[in-house]
Amino acid sequence: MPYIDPHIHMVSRTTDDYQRLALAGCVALTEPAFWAGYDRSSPQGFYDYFRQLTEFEPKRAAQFGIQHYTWLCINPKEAEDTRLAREVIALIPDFLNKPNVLGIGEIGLNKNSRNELAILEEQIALADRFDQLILVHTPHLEDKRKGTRLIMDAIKRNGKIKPSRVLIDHVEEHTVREALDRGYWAGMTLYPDSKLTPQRAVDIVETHGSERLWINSAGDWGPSDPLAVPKCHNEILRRGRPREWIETLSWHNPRTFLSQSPRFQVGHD
Amino acid sequence: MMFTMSAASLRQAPHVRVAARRVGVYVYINISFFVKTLLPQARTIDLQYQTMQAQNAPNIEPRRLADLYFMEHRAKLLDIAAFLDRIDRAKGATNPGDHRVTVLQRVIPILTDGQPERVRRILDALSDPSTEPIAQASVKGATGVPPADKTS
Ligand SMILES: [Zn+2]
Repeated sequence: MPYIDPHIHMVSRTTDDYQRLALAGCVALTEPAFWAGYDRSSPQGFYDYFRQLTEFEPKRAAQFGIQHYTWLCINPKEAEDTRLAREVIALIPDFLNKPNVLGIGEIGLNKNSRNELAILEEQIALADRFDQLILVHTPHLEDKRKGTRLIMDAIKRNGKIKPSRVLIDHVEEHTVREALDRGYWAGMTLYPDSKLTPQRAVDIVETHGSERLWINSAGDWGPSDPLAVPKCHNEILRRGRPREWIETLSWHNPRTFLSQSPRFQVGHD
Repeated sequence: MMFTMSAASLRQAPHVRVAARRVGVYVYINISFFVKTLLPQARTIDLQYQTMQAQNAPNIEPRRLADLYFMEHRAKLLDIAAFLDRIDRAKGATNPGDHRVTVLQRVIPILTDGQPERVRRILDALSDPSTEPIAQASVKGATGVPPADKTS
């Protein structure tokens, strides 16, 4: 069954993983800019990273028939240094016309600090100025609920961003309802230890429905599984739920949200 | 969309009508319970309504869910017990233990209090309750529980 993994960090994965994804049915993926596991020492490091995301990865994906899209930003973990962050933000407009760029992401908060929030607000304004979709990273563990609220408040304060053009990612049972009620799209990330297991993701669909929800692997350099999305599909079937749930979560919903960018051309004839 | 269409056609099936009747009884029991207890938890009613609204598919028999998941979760329960035993063995007179484990033990009663939304309530109990941004991010990581000075 063809599916979309709308959040995966392929720069951290091998070419074999592209092959495995293709064999499992992945036909398109989107890769947000994120923290590399260490702090980059200069804006030049980000310039090279943005080239990797917009030039190199699409070619690597194409070898396996996978369409590669990306999102650009300075991630919240490197936003505490506001001078560096602002220099990186200044690089982004030049990359926004690359053919695989869908928007600004994954922006958000990590420890919910004042500097992180200031840089978040500047990137929300950037998305507004260039009419870009937004992919939001919400904080981890004990910081998630507070951070998710601070982020949604910041978007609201901007006043010009429609919630329907923003996806709040890494929702869990204590944040999903509020994100959906405020009109946002919401992403469920399937991780082995933190965030959601396939079973809890299916529980959330049973509880809240599937409208404006998607699932992703967020596969990266840490404990994560690039095949988490098809494993969640299997969980849906194992539980006797209809196959349409899979199509909704991993095809119709990501296509509907991402097609708000004219660049996203998956499943369009 | 397709989701709703399949739910509509499913509603025609006899086993779904049985399930719907069960849901009806469930709603009645719950309404009388809440009237009797003077609606102490309005949010619970709201959630149960959403749950039924969102299911869009027949209930799964508890027996079937247990067949699917029991062994896995029996093992997870034993893992938690073994972890707490391990911590106890490591604790000495001079070592009071670890704040994270203390908070974890404090939320365990949620598992057996008979109220719905256990996962959401545990996550809420493990969340930083403050609402204002912090002055500065001095570390990048999260520990999994609110810091001791923010734990009630
Ligand atoms: Zn990510």
